[in-house]
Amino acid sequence: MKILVPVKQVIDPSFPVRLKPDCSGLEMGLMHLVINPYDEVALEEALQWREHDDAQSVLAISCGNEGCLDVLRSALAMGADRALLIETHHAMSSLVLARILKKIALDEQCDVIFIGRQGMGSDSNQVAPMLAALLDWPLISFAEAIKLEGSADGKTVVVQTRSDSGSVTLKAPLPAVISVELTLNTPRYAAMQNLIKAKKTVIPRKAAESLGVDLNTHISVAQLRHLPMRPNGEIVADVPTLLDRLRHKEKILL
Amino acid sequence: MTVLVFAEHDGTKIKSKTMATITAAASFSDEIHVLVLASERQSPALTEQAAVIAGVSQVICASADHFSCGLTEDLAAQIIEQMKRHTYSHILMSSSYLGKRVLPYLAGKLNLDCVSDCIVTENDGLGSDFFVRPVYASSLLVVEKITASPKLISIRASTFARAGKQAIPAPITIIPAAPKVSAVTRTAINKAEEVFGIAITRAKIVIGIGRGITKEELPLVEKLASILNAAIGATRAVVEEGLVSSSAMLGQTGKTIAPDLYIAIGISGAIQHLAGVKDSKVIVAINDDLQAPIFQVANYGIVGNAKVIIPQLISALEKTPEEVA
Repeated sequence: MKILVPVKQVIDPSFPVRLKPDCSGLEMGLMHLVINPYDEVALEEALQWREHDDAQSVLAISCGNEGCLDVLRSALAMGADRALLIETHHAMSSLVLARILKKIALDEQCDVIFIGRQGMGSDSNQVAPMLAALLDWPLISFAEAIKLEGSADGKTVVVQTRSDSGSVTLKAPLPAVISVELTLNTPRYAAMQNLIKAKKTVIPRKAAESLGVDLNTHISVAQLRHLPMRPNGEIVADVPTLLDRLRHKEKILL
Repeated sequence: MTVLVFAEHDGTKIKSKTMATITAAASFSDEIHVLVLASERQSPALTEQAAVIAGVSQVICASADHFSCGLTEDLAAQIIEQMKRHTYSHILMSSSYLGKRVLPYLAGKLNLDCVSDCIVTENDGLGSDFFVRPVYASSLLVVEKITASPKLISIRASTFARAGKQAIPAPITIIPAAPKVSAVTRTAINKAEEVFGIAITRAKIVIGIGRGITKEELPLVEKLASILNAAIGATRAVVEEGLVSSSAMLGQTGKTIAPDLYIAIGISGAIQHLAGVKDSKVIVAINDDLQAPIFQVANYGIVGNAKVIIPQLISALEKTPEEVA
């Protein structure tokens, strides 16, 4: 079995992002780029499958400029067997990314795709469902626990997923696209010697334009904006004052 | 221009998220169709409810048992069927867990781009191709331009008022159900645990607890919650300590809430947490560190230790307003 894990490079979510004063983009000076934490969980799941002999190889893939080689190196250091960079300098919509991933998944004859449910930062939750739709593979979203089961007519996965009314268990045949929650597992740390080894690895690259995939997009970022400020808060001196405000000014409490 | 709104329901009731989505739909067009997909048994009550939501001009309903499992592929297939019967300018869902999987799946099937989690529909006169949504755990907004047609948009329901009722019900059209296409089967449902019987996403008042609350103070928090008829939510750190169940986690990786009142106790206010509570109408922060970021988003703050403040709140609330006066 082959597992494909798309990994996205994102701004380290543990630091607040800042807009440039003219709102033309993000203040990148102090930003540290990391592997999308959701994708890191997806990769950990793939590595665990391989360790349990449920899978033979794990391919990590990233789309973007040369900078994305860093997240692929992190993926290799964690234990991915192979890495592939799809090189492009254009901003890519979720749909274009899904088209590219479809092409790679079919070329590489992958049996399952584990992917973070969202890119931390863009927070759009689109690639996994779009990819499943394009491949016409079953979609399992928001996985919190995944079990592989063998059966006469092939492999199936039994997955506990998040839903609006609690958790729901779904069963699907492979191949399938599975999007993961952060709660699925705790990703391992890469060992220092693996990080050093990954640094020296030459990662294969393919130009996005060479894939024969439609790269046209009908969506783009027009502007970034600050959030409207909340009205200035009031620090109240004591509990009676607080309750007075909630009762008489906000009319929330009786 | 006609807008199609996908109705979310629990089998008996149309969800309030859908009512809010209909409010958003009304800003695009006066012609609003609501699509109800449910089992034969559930459909009559649901379509009746949908028909009297203010602004709805037509209810479209397809009934089949497989719809009640809510599988992405089946729901998307039926939306596509309806799109063949009528031309829509917009297809809307709320950005619930359901909307977050069905809408982009539909977009993939139609080979269209889509916008997730849209928060406002007025866009400073930029035009009808522009949509605003929060990014970076709701710490910034992005304006996206989408030229695809129809426009597939998911709506952050907590930022829109719920549509009210209309006196004259909209007509109901029954359409044939598309056959089941999904290879997925649902094998079990485990209802979310509700703290004090109040679902956290529906509670009018929510008390959030962070690292400043330990096991010792938890009974106090529970007492305060029962007086206020509030649900209890928590930050990731508190959930990881096992103090409350993960279904009560608020924030980017947990639930997004928009109650009338959110009381943050012992919460510093990391952006990942704020992402889940920012839409609350009034935020009260109780924290002993005035520098905590939570005070920057709070409408009211009290600087003090939770151990001291909670008992004061409890005793003040136990008195009737007249006694206080």
